[in-house]
Amino acid sequence: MDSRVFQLVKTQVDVTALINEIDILVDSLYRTGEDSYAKVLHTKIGVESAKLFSEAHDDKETRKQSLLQLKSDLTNLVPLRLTLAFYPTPESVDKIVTWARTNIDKAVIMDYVVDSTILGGAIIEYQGKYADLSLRKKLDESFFVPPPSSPS
Amino acid sequence: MNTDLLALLAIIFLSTTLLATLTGYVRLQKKARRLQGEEDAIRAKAHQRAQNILETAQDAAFQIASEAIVKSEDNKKLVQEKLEDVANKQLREYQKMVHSASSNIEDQVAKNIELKMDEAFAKAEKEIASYKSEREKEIDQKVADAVAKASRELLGHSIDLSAHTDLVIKALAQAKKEYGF
Repeated sequence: MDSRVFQLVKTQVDVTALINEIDILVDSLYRTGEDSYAKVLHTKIGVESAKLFSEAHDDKETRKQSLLQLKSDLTNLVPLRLTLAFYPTPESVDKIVTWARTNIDKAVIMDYVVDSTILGGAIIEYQGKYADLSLRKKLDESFFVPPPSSPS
Repeated sequence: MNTDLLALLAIIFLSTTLLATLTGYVRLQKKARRLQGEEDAIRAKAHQRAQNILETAQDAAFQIASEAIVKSEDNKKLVQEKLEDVANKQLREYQKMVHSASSNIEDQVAKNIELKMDEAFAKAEKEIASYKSEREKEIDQKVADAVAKASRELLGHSIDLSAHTDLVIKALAQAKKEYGF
């Protein structure tokens, strides 16, 4: 997949938005006038996304196959699900995704929810694995006193 | 003359006939008297004989009745004794049965009480354990809430976005190292 695509899609929300734009463009390939591909590209597609799709292709069918291939690649990206204690800024997302793609898998996209009660750190789910590495969990473990074992 | 002769002959014949009839009558009367005497004798004899039979029968009946009364008294006494024996035996068996039943009932009641007490004890233990567990959960939750609240108030102000981001990356690194991500 084009490295520019990885730059464009870092979260699950980004993937969903891009797939939606691909569907619009595929639908416009055989239309004319206001609904034509060129018109839709400038009116209904985001600026960064439009840069991906503005390249000229020999024919509509080739362009269509290219769009559908990209959609398929996007569908196969691997979500890294994070529970965070804060709403991440684009900079935070970029930093986290860059680290994950460098150290875990290039095809990772970030899918996150916010739960301020975890205080900090993250609860991580990836390819069926789960790790609660939140501050709340660490505090719980620090304060947790196991009950006395009952005599058998 | 003939007429007189005939009348005479008739008178003679009638007189002879009358005489013969009277003679026969007297003879029959005697015979009747004799037969009557014989009949009376037979009657008297039969009466005497019947009287004798009756007296003999009365004596026999009296004797039988006397013996029967004696036997009846004996039998009554015997029956009374038998009844008393049977009653005593029944009473002893009844007392024995009552005693046995009473023992069984006492044992059963004791077992039931013991069983009920065990059940009640187990139920009470279960309820206490459940209550204790719930209370411990409540306390744990309250402690966790208090700690979380205090931590949020302290950490929320002290951790900025950059530090949060660094903590997430640190968590990812730990996940990769320790959980094989």
